[in-house]
Amino acid sequence: MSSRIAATAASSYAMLLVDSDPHTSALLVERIAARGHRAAVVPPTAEALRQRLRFERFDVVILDFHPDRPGELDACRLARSDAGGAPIIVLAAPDEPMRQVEAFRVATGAIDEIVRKPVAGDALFRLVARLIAQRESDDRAGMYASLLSDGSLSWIDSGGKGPQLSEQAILFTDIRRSTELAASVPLPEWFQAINRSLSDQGTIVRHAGGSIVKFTGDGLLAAFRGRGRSHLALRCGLALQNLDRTSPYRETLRIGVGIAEGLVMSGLLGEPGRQQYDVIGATVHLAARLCSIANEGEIVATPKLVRAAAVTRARAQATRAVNLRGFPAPIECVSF
Amino acid sequence: MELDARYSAEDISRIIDQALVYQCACPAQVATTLLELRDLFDYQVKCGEADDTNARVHDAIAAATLEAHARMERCLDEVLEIEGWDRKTLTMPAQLRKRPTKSL
Repeated sequence: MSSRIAATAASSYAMLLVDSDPHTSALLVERIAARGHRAAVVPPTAEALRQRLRFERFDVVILDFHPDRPGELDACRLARSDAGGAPIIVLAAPDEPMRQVEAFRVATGAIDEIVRKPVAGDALFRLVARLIAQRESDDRAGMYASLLSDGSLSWIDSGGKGPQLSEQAILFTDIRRSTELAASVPLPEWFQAINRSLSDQGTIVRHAGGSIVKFTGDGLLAAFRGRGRSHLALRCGLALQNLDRTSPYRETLRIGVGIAEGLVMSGLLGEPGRQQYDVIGATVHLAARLCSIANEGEIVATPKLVRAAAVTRARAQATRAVNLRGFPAPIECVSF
Repeated sequence: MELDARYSAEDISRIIDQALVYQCACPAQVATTLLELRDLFDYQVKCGEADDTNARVHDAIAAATLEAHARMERCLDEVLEIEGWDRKTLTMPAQLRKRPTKSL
């Protein structure tokens, strides 16, 4: 288990100094401590660095580069892979040493900033503060991005256009007996089980070429666009069915799948400033209703989608007509 | 005009590398100034070649740079001598390495 000696206050950082010279490192540590930061020193050997980074986390790694020991730069590679994304700064004398370090940076990408010796005043500490703030900002942006659906991200990437009409295949999944399970399984356990299932489902959807529009609590809504969308959606449904039949949690957690294809409108929904990407239309409602009638491990789809999908290895049951809430006439559907 | 350098770029880097985190960064400051003077000299050479109408301006810069560079090299000689550096290896004396830093 790793322990983080990182800063408890915003202006106090944990710094790892990589230096083969005990005198320079001791003096740097003294200066770092004088600024209210915490510092640890490690020689630039793979073993020592790996050992240190195995048990501790640092906000920044600083390597004091000595041109007569160029091989020490390799420590930056290890720091890049093992230091948990901490920024890496190298101190180097001007001229050839700076060029050496710059060439290493370009070749490996293992250095974030190079500081020219002699370092004046607070320059090093200002740089450390800036890099750490940047990293925190990047981490936050990454967390925000993880909260967005595939559809939202692609909408942002496409330049944030207005709502669009398009033909799409819509796939819903839903955990069967979820109300019963939520009442009988401890909530933390239930929460974990749902996440595990949704994570597995998400992987399958992406692998099948679909995008997740949103997670619906105990299921998901996925969309498939472009040519072959019906084929991809049905294959995705079959892969989800296989997951349902083989997953280690199949004894307690089973899913049903509904798929339909047709015209949908996609775009941002909600109040200004707090919107989410979504898809709407009768096709979406139809897929949701088909999902709602699917039994454990069952796929229910429209005959139109099944014909377009042309998945020969799938064995469909006979077409039947069902009454679905919100639809005035019986709807034909096919089960797998 | 050509700049006659007695301290190579490698010598200067070595001095700066050692002086960074020690109490006495004075040799490093002199060495840094030498590098800057060399940059200035290189600049005026290139600039002079590109524009003949400013030849007198560049001659003036070159002359002053050469003079300053020679003077700062002698200054570095003196500083290293006073501090007791090993002139062959350009290594900082042990007693200076034990003093606390003020350069960072």
